Amino acid sequence: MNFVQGVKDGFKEFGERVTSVVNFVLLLIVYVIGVGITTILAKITKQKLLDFSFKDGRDSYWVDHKEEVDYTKQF
Amino acid sequence: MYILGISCYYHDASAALLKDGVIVAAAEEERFTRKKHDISFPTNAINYCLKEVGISADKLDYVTFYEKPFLKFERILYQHITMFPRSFWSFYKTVPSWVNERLRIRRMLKKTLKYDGKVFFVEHHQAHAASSYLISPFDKAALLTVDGVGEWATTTFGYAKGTDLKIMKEINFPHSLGLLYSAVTAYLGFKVNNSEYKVMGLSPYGNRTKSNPYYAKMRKLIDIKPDGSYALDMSYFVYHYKMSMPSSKFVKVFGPTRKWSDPLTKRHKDISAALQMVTEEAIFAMLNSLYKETKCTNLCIAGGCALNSVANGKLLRNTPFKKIYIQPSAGDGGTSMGAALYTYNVILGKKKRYVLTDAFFGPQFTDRQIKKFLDRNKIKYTQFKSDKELVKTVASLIKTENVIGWFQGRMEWGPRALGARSILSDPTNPKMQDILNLKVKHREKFRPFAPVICADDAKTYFECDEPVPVPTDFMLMVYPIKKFARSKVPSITHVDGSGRLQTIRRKDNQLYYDLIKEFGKISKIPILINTSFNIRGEPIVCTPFHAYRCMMGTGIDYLVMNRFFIGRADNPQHMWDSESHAKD
Ligand SMILES: [Fe+2]
Repeated sequence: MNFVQGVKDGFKEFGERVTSVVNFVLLLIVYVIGVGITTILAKITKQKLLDFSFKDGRDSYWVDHKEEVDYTKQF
Repeated sequence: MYILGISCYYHDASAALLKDGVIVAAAEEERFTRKKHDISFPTNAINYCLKEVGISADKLDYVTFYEKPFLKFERILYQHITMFPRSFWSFYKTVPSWVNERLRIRRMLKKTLKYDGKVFFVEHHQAHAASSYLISPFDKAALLTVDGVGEWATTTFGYAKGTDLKIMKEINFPHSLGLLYSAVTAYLGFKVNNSEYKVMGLSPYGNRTKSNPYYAKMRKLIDIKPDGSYALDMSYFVYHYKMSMPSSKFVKVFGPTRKWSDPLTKRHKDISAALQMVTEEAIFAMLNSLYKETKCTNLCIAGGCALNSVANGKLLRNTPFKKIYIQPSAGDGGTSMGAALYTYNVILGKKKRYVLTDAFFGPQFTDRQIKKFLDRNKIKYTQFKSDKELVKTVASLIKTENVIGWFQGRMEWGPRALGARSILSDPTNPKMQDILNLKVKHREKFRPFAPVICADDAKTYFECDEPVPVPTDFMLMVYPIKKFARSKVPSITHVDGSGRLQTIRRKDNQLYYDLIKEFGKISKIPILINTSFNIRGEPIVCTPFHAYRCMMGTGIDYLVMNRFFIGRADNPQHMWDSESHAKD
């Protein structure tokens, strides 16, 4: 019984490790291709996706709020 | 009409249920799963809310989520794109949960609740603002929300009149006062999203003047404009692409990062003081500007920064506002309630008809349920014949150095124990801080305990605003203790002479109020120590089992559940050492 359980646990652990390696590789591919290419495009088109401005001479950092009025939408 | 509000997947997950615009049940998920600050989908909290009113999910008219997930995911993707390739690790750690859970709210509702009805998504800061204003006593108010981050916004200000609630302006990620506070919390060796209040508690030990050498350094990190808007110098932070928070530049300027086991030095204390000063400066500037814009003297605040009770205690004295409201669960936990209220009052346009004056929205247990639990587990107990007998016995036990576990009525909503799941003891005893720490809390020496006082006695002992603001009932305001009283209540007096008091009004919790008054008759000081009823590292207790387990694993002497009275020493068979299991 202990032996069978041990084998089962071993397989389970092995399976989990394989899954995490596969996940890592897949996410690395998504990251390099998906995020990487978008980064290059953003750089070419000079898109500023995050505003890091600090002491850039403006009088205020407030920005007007744009209300999302469709509450059924998730965006 | 039933509306369920849900908040989860970031900070404290929670659920709140409205019946015709009135809150009937609300609770944080952590209380059921026993995992502190649990962020998972709040299945248990939802089930509790539904059970409380005896309905199933198909009877819900609306379910409202506390943020717009796709908008938030957009911000996260933008972070990864901007910080490529340095953001890979954070991408690897967070993106799978977005794909599997966070972007599938409707599916989750169907799967866990079999709910297939209308689902609304309100913006995170709208939920924050609603969580305060729509249950406040005001018919109009200026609104300020400050937290770590929602979808994009980290700080917003707005105005509400009737059920018209408008956010006017905002500051967006990565600039965030909340994340600045969290970054310094991490730097000082404390747990982010958990121990920010410890940094706040440490700050009075540092130099609270501008001569503090770290004040000027801290001030360099943040540019605060005269209109209260601000920006952070992001070269001092890495939270926009890493799981950690301060950058190597921050460490270069402020010195080596403290590990949690390192001793707290003058440098750490001065840094915490500088942070608190800068935070207050930014908040006061925002509020002064908000007043100029709205010309309204009522103020509602929300967001994690609204839990900064030291700053809150100074707000009315440093701004033109005359009245303030903050709800007990001012952080993300409270946004489930805000989302539900926003749906009822703003989206559906129903009249504002509810004012929240107490925090008792969680589970409660009948005498029958408690007795059944005690009998089934062969626990020795006695039962008081009347509340009068209970109050007299417990007050005299507190006076004779006993620590009491106090379990009464519905569990509190929000992070503070407010007299439903509290540990009570004697603040006049100079040894009590050490006794409590030794027996139960094992917390950092620099943190004093919090006092509870009847609202009608507050002005005698504390230099509080007049009239005493409602948020004081939720332990959200720190005020100076009057000089004559400081030496009389040493275990609740902070190094700067302040106390984070809870005030209690008899209409909200009669038994608790009477106990404090009775203790006042015996000791001549109508104040008790009130600290949260939990084992270190665990959430506040919820059920009789949790309460009993907590007493038996710590040094709490007696447990009072409704009128049941249980002595730890009478039940040696169940004693255990919670400290050997404590995680925090
Ligand atoms: Fe928030």
